[in-house]
Amino acid sequence: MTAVPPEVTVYLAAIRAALADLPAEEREDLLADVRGSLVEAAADSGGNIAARLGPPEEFAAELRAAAGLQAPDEPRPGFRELLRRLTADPRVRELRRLVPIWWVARAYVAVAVVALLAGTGWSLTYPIVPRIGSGAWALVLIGLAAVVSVWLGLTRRSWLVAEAALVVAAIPVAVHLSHKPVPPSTVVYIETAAYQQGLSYNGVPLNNLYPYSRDGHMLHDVLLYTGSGTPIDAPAGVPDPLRRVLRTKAGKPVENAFPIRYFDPGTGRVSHPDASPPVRIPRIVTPPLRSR
Amino acid sequence: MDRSQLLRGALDAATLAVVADEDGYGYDVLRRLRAAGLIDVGDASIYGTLRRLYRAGALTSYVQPSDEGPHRRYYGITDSGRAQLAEAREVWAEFSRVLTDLLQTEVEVKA
Repeated sequence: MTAVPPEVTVYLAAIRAALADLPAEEREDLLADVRGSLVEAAADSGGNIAARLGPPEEFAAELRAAAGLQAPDEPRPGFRELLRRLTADPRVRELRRLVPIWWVARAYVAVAVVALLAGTGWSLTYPIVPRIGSGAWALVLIGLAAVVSVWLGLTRRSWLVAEAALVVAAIPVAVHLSHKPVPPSTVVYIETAAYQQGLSYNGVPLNNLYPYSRDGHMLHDVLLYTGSGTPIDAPAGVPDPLRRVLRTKAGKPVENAFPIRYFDPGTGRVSHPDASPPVRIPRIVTPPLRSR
Repeated sequence: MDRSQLLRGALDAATLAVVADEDGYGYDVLRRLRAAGLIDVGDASIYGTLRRLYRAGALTSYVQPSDEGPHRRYYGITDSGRAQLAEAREVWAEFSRVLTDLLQTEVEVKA
């Protein structure tokens, strides 16, 4: 007697399991025919039995139908059975082609979740790239992780716990990515903050203004207004007791009077009312305007 | 038309005819059916049909030692099986004559 090839034994065991509900005698008679034939068929074709005959469950179902034996009363399939059927469905199995996408995705998730846990920043230009050291380093890291992950996938190494952990880790990463990145704070805001209170010229703060008449005399207590009539005040941020502030009869300060003069400390007097910056007033030839 | 559909109804007659010709074991019957041209017939269908015909009393079975492997269960035809085969022949002859006429007429009408 030649030995029964192991693949035949395995295949028969699966058929026997699928026919478990039949009376033992009936089942063994059926299997006896099948066993002898499978041994010969295996010797003839030499190849994979399941590839030629299809899955043992289908073989058993066909056997049962042709033998006119009742299929077992289908118990309501449990969750595990439904899951098994779902994963055995060729259309679902087709989805396995997409698995390399997950290999790459899990590599990204692995790097991204580490970045999240470490609280690193994220690239502003490319919000999906964490800044580990720098965005470029993170990309290198993700690339390396993807290579390792694909290699693990191709060599069919799988560690379910790690796989499940990465699926869970994908959730906070997805949540993070779904948030709009905070708009970059640009220098524009800093310039806004640089706007000076009070007087300035080309962005440079002014301490004082020195009006002269066309014939070169310094004018005193000239009141300046804008085109809309707003006094061009030079308010003293911190009240300066030495600043000579003009006042109205009611005692209200007039702060748009130039040049601003300062008292000599302790005297209440301006010792050099005509002190001026080093200017040379050019000679004006345009005829003066006449007030009417 | 799906050949395997057609075959399902005729497999009993085909199996009986093969076994009537000469006793055979499962794989042997399968090979002879295939050799006759029934390439679509599944292995399990033939084993199942053999068992069913045996249970119905159309076939008898006996075990013979084999030089090459396990003991083989041979099937032979019984008188009841022969009667069933004869009836199947008549039914098939009539059925195929009618259908052949029908299909040929259809072709001529179209032509």
